[in-house]
Amino acid sequence: MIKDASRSLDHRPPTEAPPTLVWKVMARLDQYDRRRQLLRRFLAATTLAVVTVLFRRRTRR
Amino acid sequence: MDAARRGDRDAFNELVRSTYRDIYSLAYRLTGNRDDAGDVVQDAYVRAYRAIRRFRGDSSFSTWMYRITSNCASTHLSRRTRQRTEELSSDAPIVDLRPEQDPSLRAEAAVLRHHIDRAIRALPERLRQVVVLRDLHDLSHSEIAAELGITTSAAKVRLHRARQRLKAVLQPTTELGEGQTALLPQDEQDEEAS
Repeated sequence: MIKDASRSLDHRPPTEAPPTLVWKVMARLDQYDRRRQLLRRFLAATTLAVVTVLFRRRTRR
Repeated sequence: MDAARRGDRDAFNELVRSTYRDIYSLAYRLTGNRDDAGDVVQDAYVRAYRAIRRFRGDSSFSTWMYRITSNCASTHLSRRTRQRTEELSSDAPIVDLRPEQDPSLRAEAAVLRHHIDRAIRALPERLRQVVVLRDLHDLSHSEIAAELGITTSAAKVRLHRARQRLKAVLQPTTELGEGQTALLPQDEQDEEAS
């Protein structure tokens, strides 16, 4: 019954974008930015670690 | 546009706000389902955001987005086909009749739209893309050809085939009254009148 009531309140034609869609898109873009940032930091940290290890090995010889 | 291409997130957000309604409408036409359309729109904007630096500006941003959305819809539909195989029941209730707004013409128009939507969804994807871009988003033959990476004549041929199929499907199922023929394009209204 609740489902029927909410359906009858939804007057939007199906081709009309839901008002929350734009916020969902923004949230996806934020998530993408955060992941990219994390990946960059990880790569930078890994590169630094590898360079440090190689440098130490060389200086020990 | 230039700011968005340089990586300005606020500028890209503005592009999203100005285009998402049309993009959703296209996604819905291609997927036939609100949830899938929402997913496709989100994927399309993430893809566009990733590739915005490579956008040369030969066409408008919205035209570029149409292409990305078509590709996302194809990917989404093929993925969905692999995951779910159940058929939709042909005698499912018509959701969009909206009896609370019940002038008879409106109800008839809703039924006609339902038939047309169903017929469009039943088209093979390569034909559906052309008919959606031409008849619902009003792109020219050459723009469609550019969008889909095909020749203009191939776009025309596909459009002709798509319309033939739609005609074959819709003619027996819709007995058009006067009010409903007013909803058709002018050339089809002339055909109905003759």
